[in-house]
Amino acid sequence: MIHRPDESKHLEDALREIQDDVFIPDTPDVRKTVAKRLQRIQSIDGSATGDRTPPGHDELTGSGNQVVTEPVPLQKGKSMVRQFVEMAAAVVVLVVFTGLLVLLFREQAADGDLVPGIGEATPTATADASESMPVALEEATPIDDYQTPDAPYRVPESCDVTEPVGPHELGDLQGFWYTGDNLSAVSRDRVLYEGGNLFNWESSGESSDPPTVTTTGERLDEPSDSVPYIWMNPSGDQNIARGYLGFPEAGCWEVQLESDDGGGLNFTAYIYPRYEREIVAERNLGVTIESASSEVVDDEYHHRVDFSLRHPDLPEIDQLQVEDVFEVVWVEDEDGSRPAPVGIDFLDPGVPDGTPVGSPLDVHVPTVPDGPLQVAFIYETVSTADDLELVIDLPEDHPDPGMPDTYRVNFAELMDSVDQVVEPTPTVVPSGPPSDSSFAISYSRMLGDEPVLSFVDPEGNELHDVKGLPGHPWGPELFSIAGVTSPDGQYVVHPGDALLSGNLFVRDVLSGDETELLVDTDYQDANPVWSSHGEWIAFERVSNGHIEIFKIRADGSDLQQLTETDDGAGRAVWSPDGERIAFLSPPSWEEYGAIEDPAPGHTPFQIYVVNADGSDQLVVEDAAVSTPEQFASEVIQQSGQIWSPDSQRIAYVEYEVDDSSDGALPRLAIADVERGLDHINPDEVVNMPAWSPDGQRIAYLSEGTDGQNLVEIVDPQSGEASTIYQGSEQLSHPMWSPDGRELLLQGRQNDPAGTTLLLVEVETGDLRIVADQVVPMFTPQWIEDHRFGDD
Amino acid sequence: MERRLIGQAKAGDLNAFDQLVERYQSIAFRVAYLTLGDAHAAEDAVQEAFVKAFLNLGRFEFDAPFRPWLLRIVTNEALNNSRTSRRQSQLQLRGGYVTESTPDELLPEDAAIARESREQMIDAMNQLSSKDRALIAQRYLLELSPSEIAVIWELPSSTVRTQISRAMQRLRSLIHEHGSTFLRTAREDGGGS
Repeated sequence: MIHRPDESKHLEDALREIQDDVFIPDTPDVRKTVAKRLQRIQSIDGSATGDRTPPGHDELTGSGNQVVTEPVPLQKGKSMVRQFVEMAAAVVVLVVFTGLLVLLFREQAADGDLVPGIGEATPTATADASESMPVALEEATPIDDYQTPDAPYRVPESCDVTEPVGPHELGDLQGFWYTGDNLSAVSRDRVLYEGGNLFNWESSGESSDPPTVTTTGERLDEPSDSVPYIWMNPSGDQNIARGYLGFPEAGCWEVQLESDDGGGLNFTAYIYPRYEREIVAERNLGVTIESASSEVVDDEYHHRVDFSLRHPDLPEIDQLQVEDVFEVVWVEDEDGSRPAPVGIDFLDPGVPDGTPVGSPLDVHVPTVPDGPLQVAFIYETVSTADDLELVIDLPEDHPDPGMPDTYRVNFAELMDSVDQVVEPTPTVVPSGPPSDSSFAISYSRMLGDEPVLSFVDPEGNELHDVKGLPGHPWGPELFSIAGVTSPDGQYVVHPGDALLSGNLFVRDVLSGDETELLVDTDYQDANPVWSSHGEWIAFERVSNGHIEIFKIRADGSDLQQLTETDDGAGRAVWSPDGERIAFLSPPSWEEYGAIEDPAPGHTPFQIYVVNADGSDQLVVEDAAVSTPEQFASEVIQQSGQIWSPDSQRIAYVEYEVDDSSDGALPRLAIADVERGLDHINPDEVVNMPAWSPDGQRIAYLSEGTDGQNLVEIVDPQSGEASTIYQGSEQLSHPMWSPDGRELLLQGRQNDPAGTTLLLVEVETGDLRIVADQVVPMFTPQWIEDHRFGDD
Repeated sequence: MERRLIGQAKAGDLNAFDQLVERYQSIAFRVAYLTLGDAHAAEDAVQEAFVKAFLNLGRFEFDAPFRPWLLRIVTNEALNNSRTSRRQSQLQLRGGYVTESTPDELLPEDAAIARESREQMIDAMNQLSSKDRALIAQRYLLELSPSEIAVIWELPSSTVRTQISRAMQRLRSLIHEHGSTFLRTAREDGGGS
């Protein structure tokens, strides 16, 4: 956008001219294929949620006399995609929770009471089998009283519901539920019939043969060819069974059931649509998921899932399967090594044709003597998250005979329940009464859906929000132009909505009055910075084909060009005394903005200083940087404390060739604006230096050998450095408080708080969060003599 | 309208998403093609990208512009394909023009010069890395805005500017190697300074 050598311009024009020359084939219509693939995924979802398959089909075999029903498929008519979407929303945040979580699982209780009612999760590790496995199913309610969360369902008059009676009273139907396309009826403790399909059954007692039953069903209020299916699971007492009666849809159904022993049952029932939330059957199997989280690990759609399991009696987990993962990329050990820790291996997920398939990941987890089992793996989020199912097989001789051999944990459900269980942790904790400090911090954050400019005191107490500001909350990341608050917090200068084509605006924070800094340019004025006393705004403007630095009063008067360079000027930073402006001038547009991989020793950006009235533009001798960021952040110049408080020296970063490290390392360089480069501190790796208000120290960011991020301070004279804080947060942009006691930093960790503002006490290294959900719309900075909080 | 479609698609509505596919498949394909240079690979990438986009709609910020977000997925997909493809597919940008596309403003003899040098330019484009080519194509052939490109590449716009300018630099040196007359022509015609 700014300075373009003629040749660049020609090349751009030339490229535009060949637009029509470049052959681009006609766009193939991918709609059908895409739709088909998405439908296929959704249908996999359908089977995954079991709505076309009677529950327990697989699980029954080999489970003794357990009757396996399947609560999970009975819930949530949600599409997989929707669940995925919700999961996806959940996985961008790190959710950590502790304590007992109720597991959703696909196993059914041992036989015995099929207790209706949504029970509370009961820790069951020590209870006996029958009691420890209560199945919390829907409370069976009389048909006529069936309530939905919002209104009772009324049986249509046309549906003459009869009590289920027959020559042999085989049972009474007591509850219904809706599973996707199917409706099922459950009998509390008896009956059930096998209809056209007998999917599963079990029996015990004298008769081990399943009764032969025939079923016909006809929908009365809206005739349908669909035949309901019924499956049954006789168990316990002879010929006493329980199970489900499934219907294709809600409505009035006449049902005839016959068993080959002469029994039978005719009844008319109204099958109610189900409300999702009442279908949840929850149980705690004694395994505690102590934490679960999922986070994005890269931009390749890979997410990492971490969780830990604990069971009081669980010596070992025999097998851990991750089913239906689109692609498990690797399994990660605790120390981050890959592909997998010893004892854990996984199957090739085998993804034919990129289609999600139920490819299990087998993980054999070694004995866990103490503490929870840590599991981590990474999967591709193209996977449908609700397919992400952990199957935990226990060893056959596990100590609790009542426990099933297998737990199944649906991770999406798990995450859902995490969401329900865990209140969002408030990370901003106003600590005590409002600070009597006269300074505050301004920054921008999301307040609901709206970006606001906020003022907080150093204790995190909110002072004032400015709403209704135009622009995009992440605009600066897209356009490199952040709004900036005046030093007294009274005004903000911001680029408005018209990014890349508009002007700058100055707004009175309290009154909302706005002044447009009029200009006549095709290019966006950029990178506004206030003079230290708030009288002037310096900014970058395109002039004669390249950038120069201008200044203007906040009321829009007295526009003045300050710099005159051959190849452009940018990154203006006012000196603390307001007398001078430091800036960079690159040798060419080609170099401008070159921020990646600077060649060691290549420092094309010369540091200049010019008086605030535009006079005496001078080169700071031997002071040059490889990238503009080594001098001043693109969007945080205002508070960039690169100037010494006496406005004589400038701290910046220079890459010094370092033979031992095979490259160049960023070192702290200090230049006197009149005498040029003073010295380079040879010892420390330095990023984002900031000069303390007393001039005695320079704070900067560094990196520890263990990957920790460090906040350090150094005496610029002696070179003596000390670490005042280290943490795993990604830290940036340290800014000294006006009293020099604290450093304001931006921090980012993978947690729901998003970007946070942190204060580190210089003396103690104590850190506290004063704001979260920070967005870059406005540059965070210190405000002195603010006017908020009194009113 | 688009917001509504996106909202519906987010809720799992395939029909709504289908309309989004219809709306954006052309630009998506062009982006993919100019990255990959192979129509089949581009089509695959676009398909894959739409599927991923649908499944990842939950991550899409509702207020954000949809097009660059989608194109980011397309671009990632295309670059992934180009990286993993066994055959290092060489972009076959080729002149789709012949004589009939003579620019009006040029006299025939100028046009002939231009055509020759344009072919050289396309040749040079073909020699760039996929990423350079994609950046230049997105900026100058598809005329995406720098801010859109920044979103697509998930980079600060300053970085995008840098990368584009570096790509242009490389393109220029490639053209110089070939002794293109184009720039000279453009310079004389364009009247720069």
